Amino acid sequence: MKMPIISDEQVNTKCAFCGQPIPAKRIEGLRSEILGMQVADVLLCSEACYALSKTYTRPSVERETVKT
Amino acid sequence: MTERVDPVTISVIRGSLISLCTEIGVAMERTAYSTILSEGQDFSVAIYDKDSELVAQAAFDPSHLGAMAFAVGSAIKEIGKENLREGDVLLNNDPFRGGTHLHDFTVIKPIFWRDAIVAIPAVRAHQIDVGGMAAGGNAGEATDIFQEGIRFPPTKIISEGREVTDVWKLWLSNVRLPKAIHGDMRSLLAAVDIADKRIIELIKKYGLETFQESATQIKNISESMMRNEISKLPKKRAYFEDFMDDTGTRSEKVRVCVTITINGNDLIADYAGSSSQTQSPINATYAVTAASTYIAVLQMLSQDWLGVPPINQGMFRPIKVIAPPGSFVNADYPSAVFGGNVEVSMRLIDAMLGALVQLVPVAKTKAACYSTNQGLACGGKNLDGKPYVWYLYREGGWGANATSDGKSALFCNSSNCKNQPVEIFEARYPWLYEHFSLNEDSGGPGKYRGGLGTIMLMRLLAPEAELNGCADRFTNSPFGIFDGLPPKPTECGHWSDFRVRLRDSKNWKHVTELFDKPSPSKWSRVTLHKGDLIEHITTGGGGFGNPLERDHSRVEKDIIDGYVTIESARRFYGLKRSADNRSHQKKSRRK
Repeated sequence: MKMPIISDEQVNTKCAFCGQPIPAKRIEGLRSEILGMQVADVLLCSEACYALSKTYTRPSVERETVKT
Repeated sequence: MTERVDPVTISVIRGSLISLCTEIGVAMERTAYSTILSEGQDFSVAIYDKDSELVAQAAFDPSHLGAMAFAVGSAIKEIGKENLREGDVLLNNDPFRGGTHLHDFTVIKPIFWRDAIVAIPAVRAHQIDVGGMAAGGNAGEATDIFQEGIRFPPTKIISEGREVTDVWKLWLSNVRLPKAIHGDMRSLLAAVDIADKRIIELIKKYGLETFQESATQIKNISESMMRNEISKLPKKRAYFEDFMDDTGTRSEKVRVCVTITINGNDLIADYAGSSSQTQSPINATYAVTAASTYIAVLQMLSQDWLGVPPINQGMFRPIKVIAPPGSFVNADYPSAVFGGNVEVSMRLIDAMLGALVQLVPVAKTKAACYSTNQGLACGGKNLDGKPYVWYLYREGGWGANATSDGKSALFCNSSNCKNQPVEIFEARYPWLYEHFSLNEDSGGPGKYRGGLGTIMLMRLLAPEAELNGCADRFTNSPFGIFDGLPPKPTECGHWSDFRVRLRDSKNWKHVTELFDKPSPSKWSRVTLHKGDLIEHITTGGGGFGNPLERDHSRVEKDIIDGYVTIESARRFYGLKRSADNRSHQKKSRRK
């Protein structure tokens, strides 16, 4: 992502697959440039996430509340 | 590049790096000012390679060690290797840049050999104060990061061997105990200097290529070991959920749920479905969630390994952590996050263990431990008028497993921290321990009983003090497994607990009653006065197996030792009256 942003804004830039924060490199003063891997319209943190995102089926979010 | 380094050399370099980490840790322990470091050992040390990947660590705090790579990698990437010089030291405590909570300061020193970075030692240590609304942190009612204290994005605090004095002045002007903080930081800086010296010695001895190839192989070997263990697990999914009592600012329970998928020799831990981030310090960053996941997997899967497990980045490669952004297991800036590393982490581990119980052989399973840091921070003036701040965490009971009772009075499952001794504590601070014992009957009944928690009573001797608490497992018990039971709650229905008895009162009360706080376990800025007493209770661990199958001779011994009451022996273990009379007589004789 080439758009320079204020460094505090970048801390909420996270991998679209795993959620890991994606670091940004400082380019000047308070501005920085997001690192990471742009695939189509999503930003991923790594090749591993890209590979897994193609095969992994996410669990359903809503569940019965169970407890041992 | 060397094609192949022989296994003996790899092993010697690995041993040297682990030994180096231990040496650094001992240096920190002996030079730090604050008891949380010099006695409690709330710090960690590790060596990273030129790519910021963990190569070696010593057995200090696992919650730091699994998480620290995120802070190191984030700092190096943000500043850029081309902007680093020999003699630079970086500081990063930003939870949103690979950190955990503000108190965990990570000091990073890139090591240069012929103008290139060849290794990166880093140390992380809990700072006794970071400014913010609550002395010693632990601001149980904080609603954003700004209330929690000062935040350092990756910052050069030493530039080419010289202190960046403006940064230090700004920093030390914003904490309550600048002298202690400065002293503790000197110990961290000494630690990375030792690492620098030793790593250069290793490179001179073996050559850079051998050193770097060994680092690569050390990680690959660990990856193979972990993949081998994961491949033995059934190829299926396992789900578990657990809860936190409340957020401190609201009474609703907070849900953590995890789905583990075994995919070949990869393990995927997906926290989808966990509660949204909270307006309280009960939030974790991604690094905390990842570290907690690693801890749980290692606790369950490394039991057959001989010697010290070679924990490094290779071991974590087969473990994928998916934490939904905006949930309380991956909170967004500017959330408050103090409780993430001290309370949420434990519930994450519990949830992971609950799911892994469904996947690993019964012989490797264990019940939940007491799972609360029971953090208590205090600030005030000593009897000589000088300011002080302390931070205490309490030990409790561990869960039972398939072959033995849980351990009693150990620190929680996310850390190797130590007890801060009563004698040291009383010598430094105006507080008197009036009672410190095991918490009778707090181990979850089972064929194998959960370990016991502790009870501590402490009286304030100075005119006034401010207390701040962040704990959990008051209203939601640890779990037992395979018909093992959770621990028994205290009389008031809480498992772990915190109460106050004011100087002129005979009644123990929760902070909800005395100080109108929303939560009994997470609160801040409670003012106590001379003579007031505090009671700090931790619960025990869960039981394993049906308690009716427990050998009655062991139950009788538990009664004699003061671990189990006669009432519980009858109720949970089915002990007959004649047997408990015998035990009662023996216990009386022992007294």
